[in-house]
Amino acid sequence: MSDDDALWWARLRSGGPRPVSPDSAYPAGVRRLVEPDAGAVWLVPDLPDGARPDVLDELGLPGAHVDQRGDTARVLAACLRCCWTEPSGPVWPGVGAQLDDVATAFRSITDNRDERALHAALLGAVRRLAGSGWLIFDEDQRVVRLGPRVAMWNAAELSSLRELWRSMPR
Amino acid sequence: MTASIDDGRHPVFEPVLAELSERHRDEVLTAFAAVEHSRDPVPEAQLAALRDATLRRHLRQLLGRVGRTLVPVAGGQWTSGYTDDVAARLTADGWNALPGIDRAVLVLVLIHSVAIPRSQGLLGGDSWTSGHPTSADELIRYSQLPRGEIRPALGRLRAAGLVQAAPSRGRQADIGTAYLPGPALHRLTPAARQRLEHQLILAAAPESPLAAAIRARQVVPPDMDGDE
Amino acid sequence: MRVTGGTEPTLDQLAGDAAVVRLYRQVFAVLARESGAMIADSGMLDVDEAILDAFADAGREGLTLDQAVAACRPLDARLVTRRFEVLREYGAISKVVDRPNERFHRAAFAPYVMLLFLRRMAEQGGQAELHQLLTLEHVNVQEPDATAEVGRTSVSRLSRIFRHLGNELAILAAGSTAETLGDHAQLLWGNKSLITQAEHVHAVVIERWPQLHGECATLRLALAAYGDAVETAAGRLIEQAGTTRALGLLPVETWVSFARGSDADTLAGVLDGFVFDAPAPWFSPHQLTEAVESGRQTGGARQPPPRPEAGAAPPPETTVAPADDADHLRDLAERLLGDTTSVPVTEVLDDSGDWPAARRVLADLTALHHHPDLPYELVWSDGLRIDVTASPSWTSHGSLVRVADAEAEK
Repeated sequence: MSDDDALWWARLRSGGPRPVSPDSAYPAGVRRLVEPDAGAVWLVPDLPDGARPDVLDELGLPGAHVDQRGDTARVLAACLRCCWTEPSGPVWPGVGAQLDDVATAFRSITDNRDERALHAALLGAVRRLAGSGWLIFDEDQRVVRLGPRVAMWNAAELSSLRELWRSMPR
Repeated sequence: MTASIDDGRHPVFEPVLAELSERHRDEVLTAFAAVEHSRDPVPEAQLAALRDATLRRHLRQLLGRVGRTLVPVAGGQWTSGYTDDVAARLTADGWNALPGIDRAVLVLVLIHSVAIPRSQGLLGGDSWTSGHPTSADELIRYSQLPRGEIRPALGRLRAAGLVQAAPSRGRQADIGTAYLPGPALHRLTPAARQRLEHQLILAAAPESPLAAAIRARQVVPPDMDGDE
Repeated sequence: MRVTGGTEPTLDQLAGDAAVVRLYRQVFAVLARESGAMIADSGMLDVDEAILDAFADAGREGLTLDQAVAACRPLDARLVTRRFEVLREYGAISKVVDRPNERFHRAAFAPYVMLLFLRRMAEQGGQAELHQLLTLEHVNVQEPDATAEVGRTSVSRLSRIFRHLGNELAILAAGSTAETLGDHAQLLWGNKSLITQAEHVHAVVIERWPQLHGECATLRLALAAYGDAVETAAGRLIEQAGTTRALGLLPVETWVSFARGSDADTLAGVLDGFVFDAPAPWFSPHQLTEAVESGRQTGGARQPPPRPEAGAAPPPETTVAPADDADHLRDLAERLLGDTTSVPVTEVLDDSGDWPAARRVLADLTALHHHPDLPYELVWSDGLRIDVTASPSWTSHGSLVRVADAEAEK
């Protein structure tokens, strides 16, 4: 641990999780998530239990504001259903999913708005989630992947998410 | 998944936590989570590690390990923010995670919601929060910013908590969408808050005697953290 | 009264003095609450201005009190009457002909000028007037036939003005709180240009009349003292202003012109050196599960949310939208709304030409309404317009409006 580590952590917080080259130096206490093609490594801060954001719920404190929180959470769940093909294993890196497949999964867990509104809600949520590192969105290919922030869920949380995964239609 | 801390010894935090009893350790970590992740400042009364000066010192050390410090907020509250030293080092080579257009829009919101009401004598207190909304119309119609980029920038600033939508209740209908400075501005240390004030004056009125007074005082490098 | 060195004043001098006093009384009428007291409410200036305006509009015949009261409506009649009396008492208003039953009055010109002057002083703290005065002095000392006496008077007058300014600032800076000092911040505005203007006058005078070097030295001292006082006061203000209060020490116009006139780089540059957090929302498994559950419950069971669209409106297009229509829709909305916040649907459809085009526009408007990220909606009211010659021949009364996207949670 050095001053440079503090600087790294600050950079991760202000810039969000970031990809570096696989042989790059990295600070203490961060998790390295290797891209499937091993071409890059994502650095994600790793907080000890008791210092993670889940503590806010116990304290009754509000977390960050999210526009359309309900839809955004549903879209994240839909992506989890589509991209986490082996829920018995780790959630990262998962596989890419076509936006249309995500739309199908999203439709099955949302009210029956007309198609256009549904699609707009989906797209808005995907962009928001991509903006905060929960998803990686390739706009040209219309392909969605799980983002590095999913690696912040701990083992207990992942087992709840497996249950959710099983309950959702594909 | 948690290879680096499976033994419960976090390389960044352990050196600070090791000195503490289990109870104090929990209290300090909880306070760390509260100030780091909560949208708003946390009332001091709510958490032991904020109330107690000794624990607070440990908390500040813990935050310091990741480039952060405790920031006092009016009304007996605390939040966290980058230390002035870390902010200066991060941005020394021009690095800034916030896109230029977002920074420009945020500055406009600060001028319309804070600086102008101050000049009109409408704002009390001494913070970067305000109840005076900046209308999206003002930003889109009267600024020199590219029109199409303003709304997306506002969306990103909202996600970062740097602006928030003004409540529409009681507002005149013809103002349309309006914004206020967001809760994330509380995270600026006192020195950073003052630096923001000075930068705004230097930019808006570089020839004024106030700007001259600011420049005269800038020779001393800002080196304090946001301590009590 | 003027004192004329021991000797008795001449009749001419007495008459001149009386005229000066009369003018003083007139111009200060607008500041008089009643005989001998000053107004404490700037609203009274509005009443005075209304009365004097009415006289200006009335023409040569003047006004009676009743006419003045009528002309000043909706201002309170009793208030207007009272101010009328005060103005008359001070000679700002007088009878057209000085006889007992005369009801018509005329207004003097000077009080009105005074009023305008006061208003400008109140807005700018006298800065603009000072600039004008300095310009005049500059013109005066440059006149080809100006004498050394003109130069002397001019330089002495400027010395006094800057001593006044400097003294006021120095006393404030030394003895008052930051708040009091802040209230007088306009004394700091435009200081550079004031000094420059005074230096121009100084340069002309010292060049033309070298014998006035003493007076000129006094002016230079006064200017230096003023400059020091500005510096001290500004330093003190900056030291005491905390973390946002100094913002209030600049005039509103400075902020507005900076905000409206600066390009993106200049504005963004203010935040060079500041670091903020990236968006980092947290989604717990519990939140995800809850969101999925609540989505399922409403899905299928619930009908589409009842939008108050008029029954006669055609069904919206339900084809899948292109991947990203937000920009297209936003552009459309901004084009339709222009600088307004609301535009009637009828107007939009009228402008769209034929029915197929109108139908496309209507579909877009519906999509705008439903788009979760766009701050527009359709607001429908009852009522249906039927015009058999138009196409479409009926449209319901509704408007596209720009809305406040209040924090729409869930």
